[in-house]
Amino acid sequence: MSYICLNGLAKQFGPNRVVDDFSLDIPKGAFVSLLGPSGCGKTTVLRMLAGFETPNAGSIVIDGREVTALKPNQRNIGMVFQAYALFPNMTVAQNVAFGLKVAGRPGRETEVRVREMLDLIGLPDLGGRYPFQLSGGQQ
Amino acid sequence: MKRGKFWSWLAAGTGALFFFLPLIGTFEFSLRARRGIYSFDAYRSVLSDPQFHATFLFSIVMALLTIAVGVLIVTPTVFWVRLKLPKLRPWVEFVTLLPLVIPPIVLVFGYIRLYNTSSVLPLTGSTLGTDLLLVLGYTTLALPYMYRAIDTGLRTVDVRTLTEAAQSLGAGWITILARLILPNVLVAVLSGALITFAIVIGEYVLAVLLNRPAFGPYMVWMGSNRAYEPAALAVIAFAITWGCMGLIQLIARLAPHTRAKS
Repeated sequence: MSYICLNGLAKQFGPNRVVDDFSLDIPKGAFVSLLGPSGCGKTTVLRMLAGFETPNAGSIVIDGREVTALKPNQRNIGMVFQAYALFPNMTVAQNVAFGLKVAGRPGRETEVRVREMLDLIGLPDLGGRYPFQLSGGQQ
Repeated sequence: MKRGKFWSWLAAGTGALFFFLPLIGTFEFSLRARRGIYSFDAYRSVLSDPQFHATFLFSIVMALLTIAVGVLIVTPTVFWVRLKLPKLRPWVEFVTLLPLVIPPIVLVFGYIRLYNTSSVLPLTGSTLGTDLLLVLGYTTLALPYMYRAIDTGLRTVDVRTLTEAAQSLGAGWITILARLILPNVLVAVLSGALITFAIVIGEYVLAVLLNRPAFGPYMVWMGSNRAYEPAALAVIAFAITWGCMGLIQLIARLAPHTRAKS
């Protein structure tokens, strides 16, 4: 049973058709890698899945729900960006807590979860630092 | 190396003289109100004038409202143009430059023609309506400076990636603007706010033609009726401007994340 279904996705930027009739079914819990040469549309497919690009054709279904027209913040999809995407005006802890705060989770629960996550990545003492105060690896 | 240093100091010294000599001259003149000795009589006279208090307070309130309206209009516009409509940027920049080309008198006559008491929207018929027109007029006059300040500030931020990261975490546009974009361009917004403040405090044409008791017309009236007080007013205006710049530096230091960019 597929959890994520990409059906006949197509995307065109001006005269360039970067994705053409792309379909993929992914079961829940599967680890999938997209491999291909530069410019073949891997990132564009992921951006369409996350909602940052609107497909010219095709549909995206997640857990039986059509999400093609939904905004990125309504899809509940996490994405790791190549350029870190740390919020410069927030401390490490605030960066980790951002998603939970936006989701309206209680302050105590957020605090505990942030501490757990910082422990997990081995940065328990750096919660109060800003991104510019971290090394490249720590970022 | 030493020779280069000499010329640098000479250039800096000449620049400093160019800027400070007129100010020192104005300050010296403002102290001459009492014959034969230096005194602060002109400052006392200005600061005890109820009209000074009233007009200055009025202009400060107008300046703060103008800054608020300017930030609320310009920040989302610059953000949206950078994010979604980069091709429109030259056109938006052109539009924001128009207030530099169109004189304020054209703007205010347009307002009076459009919003007079016999029009559909008779804003000039009430004090509140006229003040609203004044704020909108000031916002237009400050638009080129506010736009450029915020646009420059946003250039230092990876707007697209941060917006997408926030969106993927569930944030909507208002959250993104209020909690990510504005804090990251705080210093730029404050720079724009300072210029806006300076424009509003000294503006004459809009205030006088809309018949509002602002500081600009008061300065002009003072200049044509008194001798030493206008010089004292000029020094006070300088002090206020420098005070604002100091405040901006202070706020920039208090916001730790801005240190990385400076």
